[in-house]
Amino acid sequence: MLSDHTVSILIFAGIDVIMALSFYLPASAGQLSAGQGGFMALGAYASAYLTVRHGTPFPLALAAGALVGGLVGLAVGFPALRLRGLYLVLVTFGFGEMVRVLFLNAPAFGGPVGFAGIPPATTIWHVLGVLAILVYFFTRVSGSRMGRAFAALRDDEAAAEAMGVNSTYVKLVAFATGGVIAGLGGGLYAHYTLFIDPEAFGVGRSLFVMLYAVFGGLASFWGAVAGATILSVLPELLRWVKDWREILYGLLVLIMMLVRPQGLLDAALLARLSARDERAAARG
Amino acid sequence: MEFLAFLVVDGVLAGAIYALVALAFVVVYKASRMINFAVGDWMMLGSRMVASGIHGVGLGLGGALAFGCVGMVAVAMAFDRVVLRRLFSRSLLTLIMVTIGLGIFMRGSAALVFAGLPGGIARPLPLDPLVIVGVPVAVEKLVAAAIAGACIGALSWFFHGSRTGLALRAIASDQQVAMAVGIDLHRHFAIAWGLVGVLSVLSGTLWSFVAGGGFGIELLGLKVFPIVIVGGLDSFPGSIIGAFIVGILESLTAGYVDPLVGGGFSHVASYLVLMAALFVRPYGLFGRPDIVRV
Repeated sequence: MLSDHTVSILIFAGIDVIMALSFYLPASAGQLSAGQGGFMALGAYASAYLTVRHGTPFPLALAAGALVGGLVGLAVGFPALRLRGLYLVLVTFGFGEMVRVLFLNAPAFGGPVGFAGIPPATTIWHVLGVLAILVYFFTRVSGSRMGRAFAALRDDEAAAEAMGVNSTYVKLVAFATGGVIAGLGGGLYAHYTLFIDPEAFGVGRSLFVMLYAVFGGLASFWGAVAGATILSVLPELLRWVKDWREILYGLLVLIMMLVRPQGLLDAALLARLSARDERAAARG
Repeated sequence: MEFLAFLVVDGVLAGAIYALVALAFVVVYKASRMINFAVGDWMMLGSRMVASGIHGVGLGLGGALAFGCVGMVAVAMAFDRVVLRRLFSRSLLTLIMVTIGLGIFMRGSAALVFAGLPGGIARPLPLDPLVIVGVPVAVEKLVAAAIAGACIGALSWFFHGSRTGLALRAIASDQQVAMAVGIDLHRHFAIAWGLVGVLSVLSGTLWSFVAGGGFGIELLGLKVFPIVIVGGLDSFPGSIIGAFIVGILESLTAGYVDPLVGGGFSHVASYLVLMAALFVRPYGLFGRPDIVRV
């Protein structure tokens, strides 16, 4: 049906979407994390370690990787509670770098040589399944009490607290859930590439994840989905330009920020799209 | 004891170069509240320009440095004119994305423009280490540190002794008030980015002297983050002291701890200090906490 090459592009794009969603969730509560690559590394290494060394079944290992991501997200959330804005970005960035350096120097995980021999387990269906669950989760969250608390915190922390939002609790939940999603992404990634090394989850990864979500627009989680899909498939389509690829990619980001800094899917476009849906539904 | 002295000296010398990198980062942050995530790419481009001045144009080291400075200031001015001016007072994330986009663009164009040109910059100095009071000191590091120290001195004079420096400090402390007293923000942002261009040429070149070849400069950019978090984002003395702390710490742990735990701990050490600093003083040793009015 689909060629192996197409399937691999789709799987990597799907994992990028999962990672962009892991950035979007804390960002929707106003907590910008530039260290999602670190959580991804934790999920990847934890799940790969379990399947390789202990023969744990894949779904269980995936869940364990997500759990590790979530717990560390909670731990990172604590110092982050005291920080805002740029300092938070810097500190989460430092966290991602710290995770990379730790794995680089952990012989049990292969150190700089990487961790090889991971059994192949991830299929396109796993990725699509996780994505379907996440889409369902995000559509449910946005109207829920927690989702509204996220939005309130993002818009005005003081006002949110005055309205009875427990900002400490909500921020920790946001960080931990972001960690869980990134951990899932890492587990899926490790069991598809079958080889992981710390460089795969470094600074570049964290910043690209951020880029995907911002490029798509932070008005809704669909922005992260759209941004990650477009930006991860685009390099494949740009193969023919060869050496110019990075230049064009950089230019695209610059132009996007100049022309449409709110991202592809902004509130106005989302409203238009959903109005069209409703009209179509009314016509039946 | 001699070993300790050697490690401390080595750390101080490395710290001087780190301080230059950190200054390139803090100059922009103070002026325009922008985090330059591409600081490593700036350094890479700066050293590549100097290298191409030597190997491509056939200039001497001095001429190549001037060539690199002119080139990087031109890049900075173009970036300021074409991109930053249109993004005045946009959101934090937009500004971060712009530095990342520029970093990707720089990497791509450096690979294309400098294709085939060697990236190394030969150092014009002897290799034998100097022995000062029984402590061996690598000459290239000493010279690099001396140049870095001179730059830091010149920069602090510029900020505290010149009218432009005063204006930059005014902008850093309050943009609106600075505008109200007639400071041209755009012109001074351009000056700040021009400084980044010059600083990245210098630090990139010095790093190439010390590390040999143009290798791992992007990694040098990453060292900025623990430094400025420990020292405080908006403080010049803080970032310089932070740079020395990180330099000495790396050297000491590389000398004493790495042999015990099998290497690599020195890279983690600065991040452990970073974590500790965060719990005690989240805005760094010299940083000014954000005061939030409700």
